[in-house]
Amino acid sequence: MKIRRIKIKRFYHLEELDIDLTYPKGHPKAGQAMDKVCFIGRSGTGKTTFLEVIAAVMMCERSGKGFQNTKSYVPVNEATIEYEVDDRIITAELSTNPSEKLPYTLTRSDHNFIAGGGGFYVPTPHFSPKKELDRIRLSGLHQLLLASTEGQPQLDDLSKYGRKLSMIVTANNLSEIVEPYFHKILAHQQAEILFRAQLTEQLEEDPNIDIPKEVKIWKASNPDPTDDFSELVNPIIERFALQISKKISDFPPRLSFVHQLTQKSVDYDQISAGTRQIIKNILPVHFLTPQFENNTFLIDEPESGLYPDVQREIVSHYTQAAHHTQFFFATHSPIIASSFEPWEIVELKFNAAIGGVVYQDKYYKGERHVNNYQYDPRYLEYGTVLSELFDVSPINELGDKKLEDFAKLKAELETYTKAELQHPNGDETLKKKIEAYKELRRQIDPTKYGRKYA
Amino acid sequence: MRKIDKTCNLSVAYRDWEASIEGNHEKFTDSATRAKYYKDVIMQLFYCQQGLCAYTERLLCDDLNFDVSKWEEGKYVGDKPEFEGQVEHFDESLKSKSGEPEGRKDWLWANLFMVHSDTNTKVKSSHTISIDSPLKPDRVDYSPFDFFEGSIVQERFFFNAKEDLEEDLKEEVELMIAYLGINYGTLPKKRYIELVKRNAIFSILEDYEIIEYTTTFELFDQREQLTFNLDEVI
Repeated sequence: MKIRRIKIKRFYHLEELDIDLTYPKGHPKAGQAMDKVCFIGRSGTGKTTFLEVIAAVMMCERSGKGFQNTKSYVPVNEATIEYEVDDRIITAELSTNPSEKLPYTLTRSDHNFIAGGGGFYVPTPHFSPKKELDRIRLSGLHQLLLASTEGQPQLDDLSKYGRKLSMIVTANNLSEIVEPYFHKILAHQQAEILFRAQLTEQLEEDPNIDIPKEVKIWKASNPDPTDDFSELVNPIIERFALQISKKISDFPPRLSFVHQLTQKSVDYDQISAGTRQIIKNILPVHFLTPQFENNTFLIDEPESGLYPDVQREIVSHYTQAAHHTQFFFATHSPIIASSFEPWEIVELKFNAAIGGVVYQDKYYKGERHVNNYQYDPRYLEYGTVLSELFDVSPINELGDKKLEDFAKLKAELETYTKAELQHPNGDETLKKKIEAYKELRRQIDPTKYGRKYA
Repeated sequence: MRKIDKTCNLSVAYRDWEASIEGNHEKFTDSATRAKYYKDVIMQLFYCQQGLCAYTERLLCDDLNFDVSKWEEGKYVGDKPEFEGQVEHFDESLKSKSGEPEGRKDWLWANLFMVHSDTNTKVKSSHTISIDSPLKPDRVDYSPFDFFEGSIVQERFFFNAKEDLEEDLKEEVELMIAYLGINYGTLPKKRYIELVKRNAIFSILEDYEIIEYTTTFELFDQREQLTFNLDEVI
């Protein structure tokens, strides 16, 4: 299940937005839903709202408790999401009436990530295996209508139609995902203890037994369940001199780490906020994938707590950790944004000319074709990403003014001759200008002109 | 800030309406007037400015959007145009303030330009410039080369007031550079210049056309003629 279009009629402050989330023409995957999407824009433009729209639809899908007539009120929020499910396209319409709360709202405690998993299968009785548009109306917490279904189906019917389980993972229910993993590790540890005890008994009976060989055979047939996860996480957390611990001994079982230098155990609560952030995001990415296919991950502020060098790589770590999964990020970081192909970025802007209405700033001119995109953030300097995509000067205002002053002084000095500049003699004004120029030059380009210290 | 010719008359309905008003105009925020003429105004401005910001010469609108075929019977009939930027009132005193019951000369063609949004909101908003300024880019006698020269620092191009101007005029030019934000966005300009230079060096495009920052390129050529590199001398 991948989202290929989000249309918002009205949703909170957003109005009349139509976001195409398919690869553009000229791309090897042209016309297919994108694997990852990044929302950028000033605070208040609606980045997180878009994540909420997606989460709201997922939550409706999960908790469709019954069906009601939705025509009796004027909805306050209305959005349409178009999905690809295998070779089919399904349209889900989300609306909430004035008395309803949104089924899912991002709160500070879980703003770092939410992850929804599961196929979104709601075929109608008239469903054709060919591509066609099935309309599903999702509303508020518990309304789900199949527009093209005769009569109103009951919830039980959904399972008959092949609807798969889906879930929303947040900080609060993360343990549901991770606990089976811990139990696997504990079971593995216990099995190893048992094996070694048996090996000791055998050794008493047969002193010639080849212990290393026996251990090797056992390990080959009993792979360590931490291996996969360690391979995924260790390359990132080794930057912080940490590795995933292969032992889980605490009760209740929990993740712990080993400090690479001291080899001492480090508890989850002792690691830095940034490292916890990575672990918190990568756990569901890794563990949901084998359990559910076609997951959708919504990661708000992936840069939170991360040093720039880690920000540079974190998107590819997340996306490589899962298959058949679509990722949605919302960020304020130009470094995170530079991990995306230009069409994968959805920049939301306020249009000051028409009362602050939010619109999507498109990076292409003319036809939506890969060749018509102006910028490719992957190949730009971060300063240019900041100025071109985020519309923020990469130099602070003071710095810009200083450069302008410097340019002015330079132009003034260039009106003098080379000889005058080299020998200002009694011209005190020129001497002062030269000194001022040199001082500004030192400040602006310290690498080349900075003071040399012994 | 290059010279702009605003004598064209594609949005005839708007121009006729504007010319016929003797007193004050409707406010620029008036929704009925906007519905009638806003699109005609901005697209004709883009036509005159060839899609560039009037002050920074940065590209704001693709030329496909203001092709003459988009006008029919004096009205812009193209689809909802895609562009960056905002309508700028050169002389802010001619535009009504919020809270005022009536408009001023809000829709005066001679006072309107399309500019980059940041130039309008971050740089100019608090400054007032007279419509009679010698640095108004659509004046018949205006030429950027009478007022500006350029300087390159940190590989970025900055406009300065010409060194040989009278002191008062030089000061006015410097103020205009600051107020209009003429030096705003030197980094994208740097990138564009690099692109053009690369194309020229490697002949990637046989007949490449410089679309943006044309004044910068002309002054850039003048700088190439400098006989010495200041940083090698002092």
